[in-house]
Amino acid sequence: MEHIIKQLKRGAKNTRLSATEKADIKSAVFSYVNKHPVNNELFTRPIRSPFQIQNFRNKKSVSVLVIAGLLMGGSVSFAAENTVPGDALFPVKVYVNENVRSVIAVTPKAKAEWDVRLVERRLEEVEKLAVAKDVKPEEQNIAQSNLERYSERMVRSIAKLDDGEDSEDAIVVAGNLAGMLREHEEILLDLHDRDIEIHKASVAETLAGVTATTTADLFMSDAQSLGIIIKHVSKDRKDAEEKHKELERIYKQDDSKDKRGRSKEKIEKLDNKIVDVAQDIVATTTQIVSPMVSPRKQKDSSSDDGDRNDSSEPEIKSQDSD
Amino acid sequence: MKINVVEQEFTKTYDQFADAIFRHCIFRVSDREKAKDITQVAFVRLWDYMSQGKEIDNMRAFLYRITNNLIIDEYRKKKEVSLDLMRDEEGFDIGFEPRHDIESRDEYERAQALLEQLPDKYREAIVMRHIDGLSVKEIARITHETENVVSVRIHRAIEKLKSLRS
Repeated sequence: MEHIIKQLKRGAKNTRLSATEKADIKSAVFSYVNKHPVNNELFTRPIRSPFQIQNFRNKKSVSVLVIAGLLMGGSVSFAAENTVPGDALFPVKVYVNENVRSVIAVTPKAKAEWDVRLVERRLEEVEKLAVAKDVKPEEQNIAQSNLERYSERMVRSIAKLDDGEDSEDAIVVAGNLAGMLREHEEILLDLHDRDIEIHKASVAETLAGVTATTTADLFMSDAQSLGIIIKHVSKDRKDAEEKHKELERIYKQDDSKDKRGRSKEKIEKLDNKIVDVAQDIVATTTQIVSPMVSPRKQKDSSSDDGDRNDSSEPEIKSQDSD
Repeated sequence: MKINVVEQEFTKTYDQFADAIFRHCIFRVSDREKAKDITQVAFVRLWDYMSQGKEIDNMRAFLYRITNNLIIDEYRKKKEVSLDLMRDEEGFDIGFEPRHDIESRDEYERAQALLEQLPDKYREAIVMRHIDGLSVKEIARITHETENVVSVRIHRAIEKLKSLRS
């Protein structure tokens, strides 16, 4: 099995557009862009994309989202979303957009998941800077140190979940984190390999007297800084996978003991509920039937009706599909 | 001002993802020109979406979804004509960019040869997982399938390739 996957990956490694092809397609696409400019009217109100997954079970979270939407409305927030360190709108992305979305995350699980997403955003910035041209080293350094800071924060978030009673949530979030880091490790490795190849090509061109040595050096230095980031991400990914396995081991064991106890409790609660309902039925039936049997008897004006309005349903835990 | 900002973001997105989208296309349709066409249309569709002020939470997943839909349309169009027949008419597959070394070209052709033996849905799953590096969860969202279905397809794709090889 591994051999087949390796074959696929090796075959894909050098498969890309040539510089000319990439430029030609870009030119064709931008010819379309120029003929179909941005529709300014549609930028006055933000429209939610189908890719935003929101939980609308809780009315409170709906109102918080509406407020967040109003705060985030406008093209500035939208435009800031894809910025990187060094861009003018990057502070809007971090201090406005991300703060607002942190406010929305009310439960510990939502906070931890948002922290995972924040790390992913920092990784995306690193990747964007790796492919952009004319990037200043300080911008790359900022992106790198942001990534480290947010990774540490996220580890603390998951630890909080673990310490609390949210064991299942901790397992899910740790799993999501490991998966996300795995994907980005692959992207970074791709970019790193590409930089090395371009470096080699640049070196060859330098030797042939075509370009200056600085071009080759730049790509090598890019590859080296990516290499450092990849080492960190790889370590974080291994730690996340370890943590995920450890949590599953601990809580799945305890879970099976707890489950028996919790099931017993649930059954008892349901038994009591059945008795209550049965009594209600008897009382109601009596009310209906007794006038028919002895019509002169007054209806019992006891407060049985009140009991039927009692909504003490057994709690059914809602399960997140994510 | 707004226009420039959206265009800038779109340009960055193109620079970042054009190669990945092209790579996905070529391993799905086995034809370089067709793969380039689909890549171009995918970015045009992305522009249509962005220029209307719609927010995109996950750009990468969104692009793969557009691309996958275009490829499915392509398969439907070509349903009457088998891909083999098409290749016979066009001559040999010049899928690989001729400037690269022979070893890389051989590796590419070996990967293509493996994938061409798979039914569309298996090929879709295995390309997304092992060439594009998408997670099972992301693939499920992109293809509107459950994670279980995606995992099963990937597993069956690999089993099929193993059995064909032996």
